Formats: sequence, structure tokens, C-alpha cells
Amino acid sequence: MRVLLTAFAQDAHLNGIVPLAWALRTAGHEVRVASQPDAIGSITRAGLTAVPVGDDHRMDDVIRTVGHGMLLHHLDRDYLENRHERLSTDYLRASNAILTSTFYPQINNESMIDGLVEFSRFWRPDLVLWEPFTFAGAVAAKAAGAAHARLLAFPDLFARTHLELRGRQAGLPPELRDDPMEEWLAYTLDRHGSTFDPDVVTGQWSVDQMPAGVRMELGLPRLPMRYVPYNGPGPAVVPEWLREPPERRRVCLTLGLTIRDTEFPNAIDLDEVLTSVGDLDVEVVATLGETELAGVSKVPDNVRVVDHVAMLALLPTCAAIVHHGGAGTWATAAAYGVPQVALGWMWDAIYRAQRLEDLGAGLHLHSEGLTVEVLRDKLVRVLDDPSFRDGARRLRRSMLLTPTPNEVVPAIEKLTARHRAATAAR
Amino acid sequence: MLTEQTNSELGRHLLTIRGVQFIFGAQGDPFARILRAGDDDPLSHGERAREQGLHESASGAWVTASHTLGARILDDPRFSARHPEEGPQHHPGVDVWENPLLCHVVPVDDARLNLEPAAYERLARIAAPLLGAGALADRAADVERVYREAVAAADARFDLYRDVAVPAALTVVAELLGLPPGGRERIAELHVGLATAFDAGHCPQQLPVARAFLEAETALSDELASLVASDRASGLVGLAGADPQDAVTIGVLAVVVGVEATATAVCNAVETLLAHPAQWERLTRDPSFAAAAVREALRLAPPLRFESRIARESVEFDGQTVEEGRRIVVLVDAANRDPEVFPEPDAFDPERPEGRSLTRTGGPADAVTANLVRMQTEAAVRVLAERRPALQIGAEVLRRARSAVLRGVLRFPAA
Repeated sequence: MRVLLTAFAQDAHLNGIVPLAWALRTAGHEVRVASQPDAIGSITRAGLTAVPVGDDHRMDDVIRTVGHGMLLHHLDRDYLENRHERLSTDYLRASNAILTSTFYPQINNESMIDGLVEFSRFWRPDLVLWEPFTFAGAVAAKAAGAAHARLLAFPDLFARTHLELRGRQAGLPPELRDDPMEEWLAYTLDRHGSTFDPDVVTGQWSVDQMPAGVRMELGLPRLPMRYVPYNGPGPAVVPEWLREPPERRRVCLTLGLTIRDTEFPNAIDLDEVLTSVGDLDVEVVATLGETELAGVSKVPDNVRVVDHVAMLALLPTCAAIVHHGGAGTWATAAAYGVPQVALGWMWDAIYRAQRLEDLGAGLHLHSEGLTVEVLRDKLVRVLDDPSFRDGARRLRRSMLLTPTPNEVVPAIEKLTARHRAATAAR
Repeated sequence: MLTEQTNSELGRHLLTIRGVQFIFGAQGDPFARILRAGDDDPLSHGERAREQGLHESASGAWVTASHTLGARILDDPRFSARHPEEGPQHHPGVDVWENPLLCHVVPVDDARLNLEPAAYERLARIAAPLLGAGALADRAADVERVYREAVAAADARFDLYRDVAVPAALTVVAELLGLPPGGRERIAELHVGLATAFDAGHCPQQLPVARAFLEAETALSDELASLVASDRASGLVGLAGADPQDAVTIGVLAVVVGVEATATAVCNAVETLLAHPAQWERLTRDPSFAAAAVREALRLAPPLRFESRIARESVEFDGQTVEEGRRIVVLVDAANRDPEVFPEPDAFDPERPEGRSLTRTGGPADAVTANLVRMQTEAAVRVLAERRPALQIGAEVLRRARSAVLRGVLRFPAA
């Protein structure tokens, strides 16, 4: 088959689609990966065939202007901790209006959507697999008559909010149903001669890389797939110092890559983080960029600072990790059975960290509650209490039991054929 | 206005402004919260706005909930519905990420809601033989008959907005304008789109709703122009010396304001009076109480919750300068409960001195349409109190979505 994968231009979100793209390719399928021009280097560095579509998005401008208010609305604990049934309809509506006006149409800019539609009509993919914020993929699939599915690398919290709102509104008179997401997708689809269908928001099915216990079902068809770490686009090189066993227990410290190249605010005080690990009997490997380091007053002696090292090379040597709560770091640590202290304060980070804690594989520390003492205490606990190592190993084992990308390819082939047949029959 | 914008262009424009309003609302800005038109009580945002005095909202507007300031602004011709630039008032293609210009969300020019204050004053004089207090008083019996018939035709359980207020106002306006046969049915069709006229310029409507409004305002304007040109709107023919364009404008305003603002005023007045049973009971005994009852009810529940103007000169208020070109908003519902002017502001007190309420049922066009709305509203409550003295609200009154200005009625179950 011909499979078109797409993710908006942001490395953290692109990374989540790479392993399945490889699997589809080595299964003999034709594979293309489309994104805004800015992401082309990242796609080709992953060894994939890139299709630049449209102009670059302006998400950073938008975040700079309205990011504060956008985040402010989404700091409600019931939102962050996945108790959406407790949120008022008004709250859900506001969330939908904010994300649909300021985020989704920005990262799915019109020229990008139109370019993706044009390419799809030319290349005629059988299947479009899209990163869950890259609704352009669903639009292009509808316009070109392809099957389409989401490819998730983080918990499905955003779909849950939207489904919760649609469920509440189903009981209202039609004039009171207000769904900006549908409004946006309807006029976007209309531009390409198609009409809105709820599967444009949720995919005809979803390939989900979240492990059991973190994965949300939401009553949607799901194909669980093992998360196989890919930590691009930085070069994955095993340095000399990583080829010997550490003398002391090794702790990884990272704030991730997204913070380095987007305008999302960093709520984590690095000095506090470094001080809290400085007097522990551990070897710390901290991945810190130039700008991050510039704000640091002192790097303790037991901390090795590197600009970049692939997590999949570093984490198998670590006894614990302290990180910002990002999806890729979280999942890579989980895949290697490394106990985590996951900071975080926004979007899906808190839910993910709390599930980790519930599964006994680590501890959550809200970024606002970060002090030297609290972080040190949590890190010592995950290092010294063997239950965390056991919990992390259990999580790793459950991930290893999930079908690999190679193993889900036949299921994807079948689902694609079925949906193609249904579309053709219509 | 039939805009050149594609659905995607107009849709993006509306959604972006809507999102920005929500974001400013999340940051706690009272006027942004009002513009969001959520489930929360707009009066609570008005209270907070009053505490802040005359202030700049994150939305770029100056905002006041003070009665004293509000009265000055609404009576001052330096504050206009429009910017000085000729042509339709609309700001498409403005990069809201750089400069959030959140006024005139869509052009309401064909609905004639973007004229200069002096133009409305002039039109009010021209329209006096048709819409002036004296002219309408002469037709009081006709208007009352229309409402009587509408109430008589309603079932025991009925919808006050859909079954009485809108149909009666359509008939009154059609008769007043002397529309030819089929004219009433035609403005009834257009009214579906026109109902959002007061909201659409301030609170982005859903794309199909915005489109329906833009198409309806242009259709109304074109069709009235054609009727005036062929002398087939007999009520407008009689306006001595009126330029045909003025006659069209007067006709458009009679439809745009005379139907939806009237229907909202009727519903708001009835809802408020039924919430004060002693007042309703007094009305059932004394029909002459209608004028004072409506005046006080619409002070508490004005059909237009706020008024928005553009400062055409820099104007100083208590040491603060509202610069030329800036938007200024009077939160009428809050100003009407300003405790500095209204003792016990939340109490229903029909004995309050006249002339204090800032309620303007026609917005910037109020000089032209105020009598038309007022006399219909009085007739409606008088007839209802007489014919349905045991009137009750049957179930929750539902207000339209995204109706930040009117809080327009969707369902008003009554029995």
C-alpha cells in the first residue's frame, strides 16, 4: 500500500510517528512523511522520505501572544488529572474554543492543509496516519478517499475533552450545540469538497503507543502498539563514556528538547534541580543546551553536562531519571524500566506522571512544588526503594508484551482494506 | 453584507476573535468574560468592571460600568458606532496576534447599525411622522389589536418569544411600513438571519449563523430599496421630503430593531415582572401601570446588555484619556444597577424617577426606533396581564448561544 504519515513541524511530535513509518517501509509499503518545510531535515534524518507541504506554521508567534491565557485556562486540576466529567460544560466549551482558534489551525495552517490535500490527490495513498493534533491528515484522507487513523504517542486526553463536550451537547437543542472544532473542520473540509464527520477528529481508528494503564479507551477503536524509542532528530551516537559501566548509580537529568525551540514557558528552576542532586552519591548526566546552561549559577561536581545524547543510549545505564514530564522522555524511560521522577505542570504531563506513580514506576512532582528538599527526597526514594525498580520493570514488561510496530502492520493492512472498501461502497 | 470572503477566510476570522475573547476571559478580563457569553452571570462581570472604574480591557476597549460616565458617553456625539473611514465597518485580515482589533467583527452596515450619531438624529426627525411618539400613539389601538390577536391565537401552553412576541412584532412592523402582500412573510424569513444583528458585530457567531445574518441584512436592504423605488412600501411613501435612501434606512431599522429588540424586550420585561409577582398582579389590575412597569423591568434587564462606540476625538474622563479611534464600551446592565444613582439597585421599584435608565433598545439607532420598541413592549405586557393574568414560566428560559449583547431568547415556555 501507499501510506502517508503526517505530523506538524515539531520534533517531539514527529518522533512519535517514526518507528511505525520504518516498520511499514520494511514491510514493503511505500511510505511518505509530510510536514511543513521546517521539519524536512528532521524527517530525512530519520531515514524517511519527506514531503514538504505549505508554509511553516506560526505557532511560536501565537504562543508568545496568547500562550499565557491558553495555558491559564488549562491549569484546572480536574482538567490536568483527567477528571473531565467534573468540568462544567462552559469550561469544556472554553477549552475547545481556545484550542481550536489558537492552536489547531495554527499548526494545521491553511497552506499546509491545502498542500497535503493536493499531494494526497496526486499520490493517492491507501492510508493516511496522522499525529493526533495534525487534523490536516484526516482532511487530506477525506479529500483523497483514503482510510485514515491517528498515531498516538501520548495519552488521549485532548480527544477525551472534546468527546466529553460533544456528549454533553448531544442532549441540548441544536441551536445550543457549539463546537468550534467541528466549525473549523467543516469549513476546511468544505474547501476541499468534503463534509464533516466525527472521525475527522478521532480517526477511523487509532494506533496507540501508550502502555496499558495509561492508554485511554474512550470507546474508540484502538490498535495498541509498543512504544519503540526514537529520540531524534539529534544524532544518536554512543560516546566513549557510555561504553563503560558507571562507577556510581547513574541518574539522567533532562528537560527535553521542546523547551529549547518553542515559546512554551519553562516552569522549572534548574539551579534547584542541580542543587538537589549535587550532594547525592550518584553520577548525574544532565542534557542541557547552551541557553539552559546560561541560567545556571553552579554545576555540581557529580554532574556531567552534555548538550545531547540519545535517551535510548543513555537510559539503559541509568538507575533513575529526573525529567520535565515530556511524552518522549517519559515513554523512553518506561520502555527501559527506569524509575522516574517526572516533573510537569501543563497539558498531559500531570496525568502521565500520576499514572506512573499509580503504577509504582516513579513519582510525580508538580513543577510548582519543586524545592531542593522535595526533589532530593523523591529522587532518593525512587533510587533506594526497590519497589520503584520493580514497578518500572513491570511497566517495561507490559510494554514488551504489546505488539511491535512490525507486528501491527498486518492489522493496519486489514483495517485499511476494510475502510477503503467501505468508502468505495458509499 | 455579502462579503468577498470565502468560508475559510470568514470562518478563521470569526474563530480567531472568539478564541482571543476566551483567552482574555481566562486571564480574568471582565469585558472579555461578557463577550464569551458563557453560562455565568454577566452581571457579576459588570460588578467587577465597576470596581475597576473606567479601564482598558485586554480586548483593546475602554470599559465602564458607571452610570454617570455611561450617560455622558451615550449622549455624546463624539462617540460613534463607526470609525471615520468610509465604507463598511469590518477589519478582516488584521493580524490579531499583532494587534487585536476586536470591534466590528462582521459589518452590520446593511442593517444600518453603523451610522454616525448625527445621522440617527436626522433620521429620527424624518421618521417622526411614522415612528415618533405622537405618530405611534395615534396607532396605539392597531398595535394593541395585533398583540391581542397574537395572544388569543396562542395555545394554553405557548412560547412567548416564538408564538407571540416575534409574530406580533412582525405584523406591527409590516403594517407600519405598509408592505405589499407577502411582505410580512418575507420579513419573517429574513428575521431568522437578522435576529443576531446586535450580537454579530461584537461576538463572533458560528459561521453559518454569521453568513445567514450577512445575507439577510443585504437582502432586506435591497428589497426595501426596490419597494421604496416603486412606492410599494406605503408607510415610507408618506415621509415628506425623505430622500429615498433615508426612507430605506428607516425601513431597515424598523425591521432590524423593531422585531428582535422588541421581542427581547417583551421577554425580558415579562420574565422580570413574573419574578416580582406583586408587580405582575398590580399590572393585571391596573393596565395604566404598564409604562412604569416596563421602564423599570428594562432597567433591570435591558435588551442590549452593553453599548459599544468608537471615540472620534480624544476625550478626557476624570483624568484618563480615551484616545481618538479607541473603542469604548458602556456596560448598560451594570450601569443600570449603579448604587451611586439607584438606591437598592437590584430592587424592582417602579416609582424611581424617570429618565435615569441607560437602556437603549435600539443601540446607536435608538433615536429612530425607541418609541417603536417601547410602545410594543407596553402593549404586549398590558395584553398579557389582561388576557393571561395567571401567566407562568413553564420551563427554563433558554438564551441563544454566543449572544453577548442581546442574550437573545431561544425558548420562552409559558403557560
